[in-house]
Amino acid sequence: MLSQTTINDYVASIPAIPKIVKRCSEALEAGDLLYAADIANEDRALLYYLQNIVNKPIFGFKNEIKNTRQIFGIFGISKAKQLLYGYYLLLILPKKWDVFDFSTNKFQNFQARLIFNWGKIVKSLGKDNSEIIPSISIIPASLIVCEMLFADINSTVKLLRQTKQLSYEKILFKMTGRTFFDISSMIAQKWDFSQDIVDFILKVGGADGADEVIEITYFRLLLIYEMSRPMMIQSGLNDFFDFESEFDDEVTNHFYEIIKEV
Amino acid sequence: MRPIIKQKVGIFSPLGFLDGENAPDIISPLDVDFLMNQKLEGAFISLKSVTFFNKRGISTLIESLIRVRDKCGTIVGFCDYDKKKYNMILSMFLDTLNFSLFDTAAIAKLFVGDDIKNAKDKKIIVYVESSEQKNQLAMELYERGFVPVIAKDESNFLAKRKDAEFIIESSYLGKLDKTPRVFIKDNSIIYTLKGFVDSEIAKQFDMIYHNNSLNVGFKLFIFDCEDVSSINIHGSNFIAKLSTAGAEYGVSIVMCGLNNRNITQKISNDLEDAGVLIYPSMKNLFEDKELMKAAHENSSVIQKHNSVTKKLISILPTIIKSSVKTIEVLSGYNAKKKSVKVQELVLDKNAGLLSASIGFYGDMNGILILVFEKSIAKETFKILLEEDYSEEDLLEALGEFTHIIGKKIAQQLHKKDIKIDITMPRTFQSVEDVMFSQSNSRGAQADLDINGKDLTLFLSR
Repeated sequence: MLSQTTINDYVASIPAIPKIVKRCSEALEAGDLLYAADIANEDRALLYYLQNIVNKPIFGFKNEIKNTRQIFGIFGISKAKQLLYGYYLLLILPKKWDVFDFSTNKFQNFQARLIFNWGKIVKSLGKDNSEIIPSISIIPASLIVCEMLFADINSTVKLLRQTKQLSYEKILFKMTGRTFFDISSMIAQKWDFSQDIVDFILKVGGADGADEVIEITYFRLLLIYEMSRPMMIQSGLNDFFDFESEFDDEVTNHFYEIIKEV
Repeated sequence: MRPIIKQKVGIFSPLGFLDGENAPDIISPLDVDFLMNQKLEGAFISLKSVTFFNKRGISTLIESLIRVRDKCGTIVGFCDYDKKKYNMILSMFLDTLNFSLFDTAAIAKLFVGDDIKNAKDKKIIVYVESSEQKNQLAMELYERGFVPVIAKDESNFLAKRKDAEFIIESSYLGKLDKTPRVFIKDNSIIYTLKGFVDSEIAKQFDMIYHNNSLNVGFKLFIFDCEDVSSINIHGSNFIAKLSTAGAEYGVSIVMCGLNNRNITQKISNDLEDAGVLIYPSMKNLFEDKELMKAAHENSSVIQKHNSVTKKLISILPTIIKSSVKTIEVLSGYNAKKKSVKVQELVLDKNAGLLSASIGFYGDMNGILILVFEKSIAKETFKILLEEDYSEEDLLEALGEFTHIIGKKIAQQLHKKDIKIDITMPRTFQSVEDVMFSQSNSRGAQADLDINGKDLTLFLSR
């Protein structure tokens, strides 16, 4: 059985952000793209991650992009932050996935799709300057948290899910009274993200007042949309979250039009 | 995506956006094969968690299920939607709608599947716009033993709906021609046959389900033949063989609704020679109080009670360990073993106990009984219960919990090269019922302590 103690122990075991990555983040916060790119260039792991993710087919670049200045230059500050926050998650990524039929490569494909499609949405909504927009890259931490927390009790949970239609989030909530968004927000706090970002994560998960912000509605739709794509169904992640499925028709149809725009 | 299967009905519950891109992954060719092997009564797609769907997505999904229907006669369609989604599906298919639609999964199970216990007590109201559909829906419910209220008009519907437990207002019956269909009524298994009964019955009949029912202890198996136009020697031979094989378990095979228009005298005599009881109609059968009493009294477990064997005792540690681990993971409580004894089942009749049994067969045969104190049962099954739950929900959760434990035991034994299958779980509302089911039977009784409350595991043959 999972408990609050299991969660606390897990969050405590999460490593701090490496200094070099922190410096890169601060440079981006300050709006200095070139300096941030140069710092990123110093960290081989970060450089490899950036090269790998931006050359995913979804971004549609004809030629391979290798240079960090080029990467940050093309993507701009907001998306560069998203890329960097996405890199944070590599620090806690499991080496081997047991609960889900997932992998580091699939995880990065998922991150790339989120960044790309979120870019289309915020552009369409005219919200691409919002400070909290890049923080969506932290949300996929939920998948990692689930993999780590459920690994030990996976065989029993699988039997439970064969018997009753229960999302992983519902099981977690029934066992601990916490949602994946609560745990993601704990991770964000541990990594010194601002309170606005912590609140944003909680609101995406359904905390009070979430529906007042249009970006949150669209982001939830994006998350629901991405969780229902073939890769996620094949990996057993389709019914991961426990979102309400009812949305305003006009908003849902508009969302789908944006996503399907070439 | 694998469906959740209960009472011979499989429900797929996709989430999010349902379109042409992901529909082939929601019901994949492997899932289609799986459904065909399961010989289900019904297979439905729940739209409860679907945010958006388009025609391509819906068409792709239903085409997969129609392949299952064409091969196995499974009733297929969609369920768990609101009026808006219902109208969207109707408008997408207009004159080509050839599958079923049910307001909710619970309503689908009124029409399909084997569980129709307490049929007459269920408060059902039917009001759909098409009077043809309204009549069909009502007729089908009557046939399965329900007594629905049929609203005459909208005002009548609005006035009566508040008292109803099941509100049928956006349902549509597509093809319902599966034969044989099966359901459980009054502790009897009822197979409904239609049309011509010939050698095809052997291919369509779910032998695994039948054997499970025998193992669990059903004593009365009824073939409702009121809609049979003709039965030939191949069809009757199949049923005669079931009767002969069932004799070992002390079961009765009954055929109702046969007459000189649908069966020859010779075939009828042959069936009677094989021990098949023939009644003119279902009504006549249910009026036979003696037979129905026998069905009730002996319905709990298999008749041959023997003492637990050394072979069974040898797997007792695995059974206790698997059960305890599952209980601990799902309830959050630690379970401690108090005692293990070979004896008759001993329970405190006044302790407010809930119990369930599950049979297993294969390399080893036996029955495992779980008995919980009610207060700890509520805590232990909380993961399977909604906030507001009834006594019936609690018993259902106990059944589900027992099923999970049964599967866990099967998994663990499989690792030791012991292959077993499990039956469906059976729940008991009273201690007397479970004690009666184990009369004269000795088994291994393990008494455990969960958070200061008692849990009993009883393993017998």
